[in-house]
Amino acid sequence: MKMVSTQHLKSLIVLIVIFLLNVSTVYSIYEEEIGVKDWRLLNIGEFERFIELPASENTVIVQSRILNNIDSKYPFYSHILSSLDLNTGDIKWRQILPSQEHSFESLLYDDSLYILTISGGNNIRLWNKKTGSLKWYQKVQSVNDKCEGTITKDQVFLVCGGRDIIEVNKETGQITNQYLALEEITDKPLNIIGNSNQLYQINSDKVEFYQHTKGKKSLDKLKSIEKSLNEELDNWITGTLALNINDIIVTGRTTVHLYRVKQQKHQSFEISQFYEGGSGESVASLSYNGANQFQIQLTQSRVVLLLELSGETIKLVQKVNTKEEDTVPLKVVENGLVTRLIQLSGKNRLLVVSQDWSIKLISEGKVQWSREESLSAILNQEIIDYPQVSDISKLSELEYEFNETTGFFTHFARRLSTQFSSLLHPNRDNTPSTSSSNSISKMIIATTLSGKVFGISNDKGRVIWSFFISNFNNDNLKKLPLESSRMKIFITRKVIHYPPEAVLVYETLRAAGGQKQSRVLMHFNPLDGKKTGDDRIFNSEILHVALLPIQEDHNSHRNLLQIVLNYPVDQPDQPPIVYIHPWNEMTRKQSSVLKDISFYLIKGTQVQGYKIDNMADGKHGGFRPLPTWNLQLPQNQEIIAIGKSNPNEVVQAPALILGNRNLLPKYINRNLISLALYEKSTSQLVIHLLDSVSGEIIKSFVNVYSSSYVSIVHTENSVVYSHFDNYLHKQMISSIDLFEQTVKWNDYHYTPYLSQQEQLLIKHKSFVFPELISTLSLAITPKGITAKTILIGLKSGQILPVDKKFINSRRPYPEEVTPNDAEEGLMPYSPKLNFPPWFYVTYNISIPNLKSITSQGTDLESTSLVFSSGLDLFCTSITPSQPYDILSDDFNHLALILTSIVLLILAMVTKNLKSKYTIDKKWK
Amino acid sequence: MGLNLKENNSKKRWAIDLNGGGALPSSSSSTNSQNAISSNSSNSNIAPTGSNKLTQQQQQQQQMGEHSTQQSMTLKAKKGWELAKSPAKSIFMTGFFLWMVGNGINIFTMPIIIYAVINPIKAIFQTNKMFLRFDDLNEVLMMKLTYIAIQLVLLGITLYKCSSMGLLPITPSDWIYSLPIKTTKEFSSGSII
Repeated sequence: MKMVSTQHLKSLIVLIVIFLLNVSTVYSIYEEEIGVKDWRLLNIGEFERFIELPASENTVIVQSRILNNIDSKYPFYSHILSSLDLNTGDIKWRQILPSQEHSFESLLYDDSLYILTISGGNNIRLWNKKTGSLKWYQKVQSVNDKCEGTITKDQVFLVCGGRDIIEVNKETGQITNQYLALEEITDKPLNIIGNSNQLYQINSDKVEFYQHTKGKKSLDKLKSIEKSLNEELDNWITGTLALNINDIIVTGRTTVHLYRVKQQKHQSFEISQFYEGGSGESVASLSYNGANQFQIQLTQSRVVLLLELSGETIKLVQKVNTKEEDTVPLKVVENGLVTRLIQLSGKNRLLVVSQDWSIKLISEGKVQWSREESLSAILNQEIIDYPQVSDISKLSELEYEFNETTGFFTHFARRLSTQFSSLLHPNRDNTPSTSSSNSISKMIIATTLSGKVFGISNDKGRVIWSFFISNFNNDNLKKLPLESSRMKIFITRKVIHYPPEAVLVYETLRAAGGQKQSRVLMHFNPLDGKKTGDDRIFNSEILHVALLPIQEDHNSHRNLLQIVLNYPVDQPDQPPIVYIHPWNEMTRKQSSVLKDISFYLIKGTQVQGYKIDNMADGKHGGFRPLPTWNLQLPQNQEIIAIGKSNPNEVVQAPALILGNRNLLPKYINRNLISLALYEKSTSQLVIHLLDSVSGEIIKSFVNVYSSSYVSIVHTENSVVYSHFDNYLHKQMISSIDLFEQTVKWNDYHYTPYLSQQEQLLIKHKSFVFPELISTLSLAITPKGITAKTILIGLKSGQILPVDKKFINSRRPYPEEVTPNDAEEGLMPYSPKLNFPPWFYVTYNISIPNLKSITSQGTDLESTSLVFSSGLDLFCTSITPSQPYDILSDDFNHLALILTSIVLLILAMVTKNLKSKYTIDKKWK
Repeated sequence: MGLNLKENNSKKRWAIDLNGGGALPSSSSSTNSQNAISSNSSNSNIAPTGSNKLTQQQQQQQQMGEHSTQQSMTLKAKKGWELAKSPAKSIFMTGFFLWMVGNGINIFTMPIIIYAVINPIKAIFQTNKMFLRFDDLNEVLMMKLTYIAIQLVLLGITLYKCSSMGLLPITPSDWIYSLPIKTTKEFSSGSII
């Protein structure tokens, strides 16, 4: 009896343990969904500063930055603090500082559990280094709110505004002591030496050292040393830093000076000593890398020298980008020049940051891991179909069979052998799509702010290829929102049975020799990132580039590009020149079709429309356009956003079916653009709908008390835009729908809009959206049958797909609902939109600094691929109207097969029985 | 329908009697007609004797015959009209049926609708055959027209039902696929410079 009860007890314990194990794994409703249909790539942004934690922890804390609001005229940086695992390069934790803190002053560590950061001038934070959680936050007030600090065992010691000394309690974050250290206002600020309470001040003739004592209200003067630098050298000083109270490093044009305060010694080292053949190089910057190491960067060839102060001398630790072979295995072509070089403790490990923002850990001459941080600032992206393995192998097989065989029998034998070999080795090709489990296989091509171009597979987000354009001009941040200064990709050939082709358009940096900037059209294969032809170079500024819906000829399936150049330079009365690319015999024949091509250029508040007219340069395909219209908008308004129709969108239904079964024809004019104008003085937002061929304003809408952040998306006959209402303090989303008055059964083309000829039915309604919107996009499906869905990117970093029927201007007011409206399925208007949390395609995760969402159709009509980028990349496939063309996962395939087999057998049996019966009957 | 045919047969027998010259009271029963034949044969036995009385009798018979022909024609016309108007009786029933089946399209409503469409069309095509024996009547055309008109009314009711069920392509929305998706001949694009 006792035996039985113990057995029962054991089994009960086992059951409880199994139950508890199961309970602990299921802690979120999204847990089993995340990562099934989607992938996420986490980034930290552009590397700025770091601290290495003790070797046992194998962790570095990195301070990095990302550019906010690339699309706005006023982009700014926001900063990120993250912890990287040194073994794998994975992010242990990541904290994004508030975007209003545009600067990051200090990152400090005191060998304890905490890290101190000073950002935005005077925001002091103490973080837990293990978890990244915030212990306390303090905002200090001082003269000009620029602080630097140090962290000791029990307190945080700060110098603000160069002369304000502040003591903060490390445990609580309370200010315990504050005083003004220097009486007079000076432009020579006090600097803190390392992790100590000692300070130095560099005056024109001497360097002075001070010490702060806890609780005291003034500084103690330690010593002062005369700078024995001659006048000439002084003018060339490129950097000064105090490594400790005894050693000051000063870099001159070609020399490194070391001042040993204790011994009152001055030593100088020629840079050429560390770098042979570099006598002419001058120092660009000097920076402290910690642990008595400092980095010197030289201007011309950007040679990076990592030097260490050891004993009496300065020793070279590492050098890269030198003309001789690098001591570090780095390919400059792949990653650009090295910008930061950090020697980590132990195992001869180097952390290398390159021009392309990549971070690499090199351990004993081998790359242990690398992070592509440029993906945190994507400028432009395109999605193309990756040809399926079957397509490629079938094509190659066909080619093999038909081109390389002679005679019927050999051909037949080949057919049999290829068939047989495909049976034996179903996955011969080692192409990326073989590993993809689902049918969707696409390639995302993205250009980044650093100048690196990536090809990313859509299945798991692996970087298939990348190349770096080292001379891409990304210097002028204010020009970034302009089309001309961006790096853009155009997919010129998409068809699946030809290798696709893409063109990359970018502007180069102004070369050091004073050469002019040039604009490059680079041809490459978007599947492998390899160049496919010679570059085309323009010396004039590119004003506009567009992919035309005209093909070179029927055989090549290559679309033409239109390039508008600022030539003659800045002459407003002269129209700019337009080039058609590629220009050859076949395109020359199409020059009559080119007369239907128009374009517009927006300069300030002036919108100028042009039409391609006469040929100006017959040799290179240059056309002189004809100015067709001009729109001068009020000077006090500013164009903040432009909405255009998505060229990938397919229109399925030209009209709406009303409840009384009549038709309401949609006005789907692809040349319709929407301009969002903002007037700062009155907080007025004006949305103009404009025909960009005729230049006529179709309709204007005014929103008063609006904020200046607007996002617009066009779908079919609708323009959806979001703005923040300052008066209601609500995020609004509005829809403008355009319809024609009468059904025209025999009209095949739209004529450019003219108000005298055409009367349109235009409806507008606004809705209150529960969250702040950062971007709007459209879910694309291959045939356009699936209900139109707007992808709303939220400020919180989530993506919400919303059926267009919710944001519909035809939704009737509840008191005006007619039976026809009910029959049509129009929902009565309600100003508030609300969506349950399971509608979000991002589950419970978010994409910080979400900037853009791109969508592309897949092989299935119900499914769209959504790729979004911000600091992180997130890609998923969505089914806006449920997966209606896919069998559900729980579909019983076995039952279907078995039933079919049974029915087949039964049919055959009964057929035999019947024939037997008839024969028997006849014999009777 | 079956009832009509029966009447038809009995009338035919009655017509044979007429040709034989015997004036007999109209009868529709078969036993009466049997008697009529026997009486007719007895009359023919008498006939060869010949006399004025006989011609008188014949005259009388003729007069009586004319009278009965007229009578029978009226009767025939009456029957013809009856036949022409007969489908009217089913208007109410068909209407009620169609109303009862509702507007849903499913496996139960479809046969009813299909029969309600096919029957009147079939009947219209068979009109001539139906009115074949009334061909000697003057009003036969009117009868046929009436018959067709009533069948059309029936068809109309069914078509109305079809239209309310949305089965008839009579609204513009049914022809949306022949509405062209308009494109723009011109292509325009632009940039902020």
